[in-house]
Amino acid sequence: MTGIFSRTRDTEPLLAIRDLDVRYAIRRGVFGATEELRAVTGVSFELRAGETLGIVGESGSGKSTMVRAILRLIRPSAGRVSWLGQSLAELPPSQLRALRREMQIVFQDPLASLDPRMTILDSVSEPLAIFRPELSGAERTREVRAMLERVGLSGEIVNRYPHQFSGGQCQRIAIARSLILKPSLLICDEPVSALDVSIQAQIVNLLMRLQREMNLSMLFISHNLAVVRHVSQRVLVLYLGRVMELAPREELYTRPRHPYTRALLESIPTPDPARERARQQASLGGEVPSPLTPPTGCVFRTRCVWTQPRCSNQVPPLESVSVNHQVACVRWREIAP
Amino acid sequence: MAPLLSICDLEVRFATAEGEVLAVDGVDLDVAAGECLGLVGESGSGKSQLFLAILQLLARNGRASGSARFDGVDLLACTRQELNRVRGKRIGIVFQDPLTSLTPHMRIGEQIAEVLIAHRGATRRSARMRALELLERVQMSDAPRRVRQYPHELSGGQRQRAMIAIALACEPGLLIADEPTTALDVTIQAQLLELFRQLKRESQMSMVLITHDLGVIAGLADRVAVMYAGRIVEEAEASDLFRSPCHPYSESLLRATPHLDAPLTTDLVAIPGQPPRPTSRITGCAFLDRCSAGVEICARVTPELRSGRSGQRVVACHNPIGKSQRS
Repeated sequence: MTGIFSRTRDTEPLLAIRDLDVRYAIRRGVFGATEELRAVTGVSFELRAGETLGIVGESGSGKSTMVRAILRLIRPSAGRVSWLGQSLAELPPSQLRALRREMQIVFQDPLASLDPRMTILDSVSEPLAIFRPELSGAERTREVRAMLERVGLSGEIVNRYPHQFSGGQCQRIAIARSLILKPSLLICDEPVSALDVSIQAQIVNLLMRLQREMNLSMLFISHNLAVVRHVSQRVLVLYLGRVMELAPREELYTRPRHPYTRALLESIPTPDPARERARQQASLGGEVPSPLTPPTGCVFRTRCVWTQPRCSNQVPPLESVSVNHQVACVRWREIAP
Repeated sequence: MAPLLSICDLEVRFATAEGEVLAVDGVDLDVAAGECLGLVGESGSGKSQLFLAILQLLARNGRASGSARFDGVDLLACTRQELNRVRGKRIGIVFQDPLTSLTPHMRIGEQIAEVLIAHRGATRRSARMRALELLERVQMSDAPRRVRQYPHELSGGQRQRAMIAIALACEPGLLIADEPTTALDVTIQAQLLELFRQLKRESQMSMVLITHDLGVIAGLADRVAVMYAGRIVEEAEASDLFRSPCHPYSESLLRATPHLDAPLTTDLVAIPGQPPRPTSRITGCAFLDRCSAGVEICARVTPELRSGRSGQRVVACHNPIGKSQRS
C-alpha cells in the first residue's frame, strides 16, 4: 500500500474527528411535521496508531451512531472525519472503497452478524473475495484457516455453520472475519455485551492480544466501564450525543471530573456485599431526556446534582484539565472531590 | 419454621429435535419467609427454567418433576385454577424484558387495576386509586400521568417499575425477579436496585433474584445459590460466598467479573472452554473440563451437595477450595 493509506506520516493521527454532527429527520405520522433528532453533536477526538480509545455512554448517547458515521455507513450531517490527514468526504469513491479494508467493525450479537446459511469458510473469506480477488480458492482457504487459529479456533471448522457454535465461538469467528484483511482500525461495538461473564474475559483477552500482535488501533464501545477500563488507553464519555469528558484511563477512573462520569462510576454494582449494603441513594436520579427535545445549555443539567441556573444558558465548552484531559462542565474546578 | 418455598428434587426436561435436554437436574432449594435469595448462573445454567417450572410456565415441550411446596401447597401438583390463586397473587413475578411482559394496548393503570380486580375482587374505582398508590410506591416519576400511558410511551426503566408495581399489587409473600435490571442502563439499574433494597427493608416479602451478574445481588441477597449445567454447585450466606467461595466455579465466576479495582497489569481471568452443550450427557462433574482443581474421581462420580466449611454452606465438589486434599 502506498500514498495516503501508508503509515509514513507518523505525526498524523490515524483517525481525526472534528465537530462531527449526525442528525436524523423524524416524521410523526403521515402528515406530521418533521422533527430533527440530534444523535451526535460536535464530537471531536483523535486516535493514534496502535491506541485503544474506549467510548462509554448509556443507550441514546450516540456511541453507535458516531462510529457508523465514522465508517460512513451513515452520512454525517456536518464535521470532518480524516484518515491520516485526508478527509473521507473528499475522497473519490474508488479510494474510499479501498480505505474500507483498513477499517473493520465487530458487532454485539455475533450470531446475527454471521449469515446462518453460509459456512464459516464463506463468511470469513468473503472480504478476501472482494478485496483480494487475485487469490485462488486454496490460498483463500489457507488464509482463513490461519486466521481462525489465530483467534483460538481450529482451522478444521471451515465447513461448519454458525448455529453449530456457541456465542463466544461465533464472536471469535466474527473477529476473524474482521481481521482477515489486516486492517489498521478495528471498531468494536459492544463486542462482549451479549456474552456470559466466563466467556467475556476470553474475548477481551483475545482482542487485546490481537491488538498488540497486529498493531491495531481500536475504538472500543461498551456500556461496561470495568471492561473499558481494562482495554483502553484513553476514554471518551458521551451523553445525549455530546462529549462530557475525554481523559487518559488512569485519570478518568481515579479522578473523574465530570458529574456524569462520577455518577456512572458510582452506579456500577460491585461483587462486595459490605460495600453494596452501605450504598445510600442511587447516584443519578431521573432518566436520559429525549434527544428530540434535549435540554438547553448543558444536556446533563436535568440530572446533575451540581446544576446552577447558568448551566442552562450555554453549552459548556470542553476545558482542559491537563494536557490530555478535557471536561465539558463549567463547574469542574469547584466540584472536585 | 418451615420455609415459605421448598423445592425438592426438581427436574426439568425439554423434548427437542436434537434430543432430550435436561435443563434442571435434581435441584433442592428453600426460600425462608422474609429472605432474599440470589440465584446466580450463566445462560443455559437452568436458573430461569427452575422458576418457570414451579410456576408451570414452561414452554410446551417442557416437563417438570419433583415438588415445589409453597406455603404447604405443591405447586407442581396444582391444577391451572388452583395455580391462578397463587400466581400473580401470592407470588409476584418480574421478568427481564418489561416490553414483552406488559400488554401493549392497555394503559399502565388498567394493567395494575386488572390484577386487583381479578385477584382481590376490587371495584374498578378502588383498583384505579390503588394503581396510582402502587406506582408511587415504586417511585415512578410523574405517576398520575403514567397511569394513563401505554407501555410504548415509557422508558425501559419506567416499564420495569410498572412491572414491579403489578407484581406487588396483591402484596405477595414471594417476589421472583428474573434478570430484572439486565436490559437497563447502569444508572437506571442503580435506581432499581435501590428500590429493591427499599422493598426488602420495608416489607416481610421473600425475594428470589435470578441473575448472571454477581454485582447485582451483592447488596441484596441474604443467601446465594450458584447454578452450573442444571445443578446447584454451591449455596451459602452471601457474605461467605463473596468472601471465600468453595466451589471452583463460584470462585472463577467471581474472578472473571471485571471490576473497577482490578489490577490492570494482567489479562482478565477467563474461565477456559465453554459450558457443556445442553443435550450432552455428562458423567461426573459438569465443570471438570474447565476446572483447574479436578481430581481423578471428578470424571466418574457426579458430586453431590454436601456441607462445606461452615454449617450454613453446601458445595457440590470433590475437591472444594479450602479442603486439605486440594492439590
